[in-house]
Amino acid sequence: MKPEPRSVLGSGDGSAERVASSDFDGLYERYGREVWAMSYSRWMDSELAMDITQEAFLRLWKQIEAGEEIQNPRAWLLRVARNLAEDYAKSSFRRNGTQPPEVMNGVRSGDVAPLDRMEREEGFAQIRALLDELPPADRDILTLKYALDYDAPQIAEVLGIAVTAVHMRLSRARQRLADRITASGVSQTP
Amino acid sequence: MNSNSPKTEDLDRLLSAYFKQQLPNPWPAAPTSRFAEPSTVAANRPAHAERVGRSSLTLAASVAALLGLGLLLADTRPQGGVAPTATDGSVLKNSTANGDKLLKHMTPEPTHR
Repeated sequence: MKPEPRSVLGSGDGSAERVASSDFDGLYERYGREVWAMSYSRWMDSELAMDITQEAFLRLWKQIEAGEEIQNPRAWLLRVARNLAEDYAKSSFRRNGTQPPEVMNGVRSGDVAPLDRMEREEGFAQIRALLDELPPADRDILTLKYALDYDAPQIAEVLGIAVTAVHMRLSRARQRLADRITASGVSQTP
Repeated sequence: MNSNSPKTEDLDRLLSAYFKQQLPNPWPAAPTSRFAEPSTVAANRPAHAERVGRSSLTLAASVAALLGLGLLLADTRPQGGVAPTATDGSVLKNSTANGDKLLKHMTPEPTHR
C-alpha cells in the first residue's frame, strides 16, 4: 500500500527531505531576505516587500501542513513572491495610492543628528526615485548585491542567469545609476 | 568617463547604505510562529490510517457498550407478567435510579432548531 504523501521539500540540489518545523525555520532564515529583496526590487517598498515575504512563507507552511510536495522551496518561494508582488501591489496602490518617498525612507539610526537625518532622508528619497527609473532586471541585481551583499555567482543562481551576465548587467546598472545621480545632483555621501 | 560621475567606491557605499537601510531590522520572525502548532506534534502523531483504525475501534466499542447496556436494561424492565429480578425495580443495588428514566435519558432527544 502506497504511504500517504508527507511534506517533502527539496534542498534545491535535487534531493528531497522530510520537513519539520525546524526545517521551515531554517528555510525562512536562509531565503527570507532573498524573497524580500526580490519583492522589494519590484516595487521599491520595504513594508510591502515584507508583507509579500510573510505571505509567501505562510503559503509555504500551508503547503507543508497539507502534505504537498515542493521539490525546490527556494524557486517556489520566489515564484510565489513574484506573483504576489504583481497582484498585491496593484491592489494596494488602488486602495491607498502612492506614498511620498520620504514616508518610505525613514532613517532608523538613532545616532544621526536631525539635520543630517533630513539630508540623508532626502538623499535616499532621490536614490529611490532614480532606482525606480531603472529596468526591473537592473533593480533585481542591485538589490541582491547591496542589500544582501551577494556576489555574482549567488546573484546568478537566484536570477537563473550566467555569472558573466551578472557582471555585465551590474556594470551597466551602475553606470546608468551613476549617470542619473550626476544629472540629478544627488549627494554621494551616504 | 565623466569626471563628475561618482566614483565606483562612492556609489557602492551609497547604494549599500540605501539598501541596508531598507532591509527590515530586526528581521521579523517567521509567520508560522503566530499561526501554526509545531510540526513536531504533527510528526509524533500516528499515521492517518492508524488514527482512523483506532477511532473506528473506539466507536465500535462505544456502540457495543451502549447496545449491551440497553439490552440489559430491557431485560430488567417489567414485561407482561414477568417480575423484575430486583424487588425495587432498580437496576443497581441501593440505587435510586429508575430504569425508565435511564432509558429515556439514553434515547436521543429530537434536535430543536
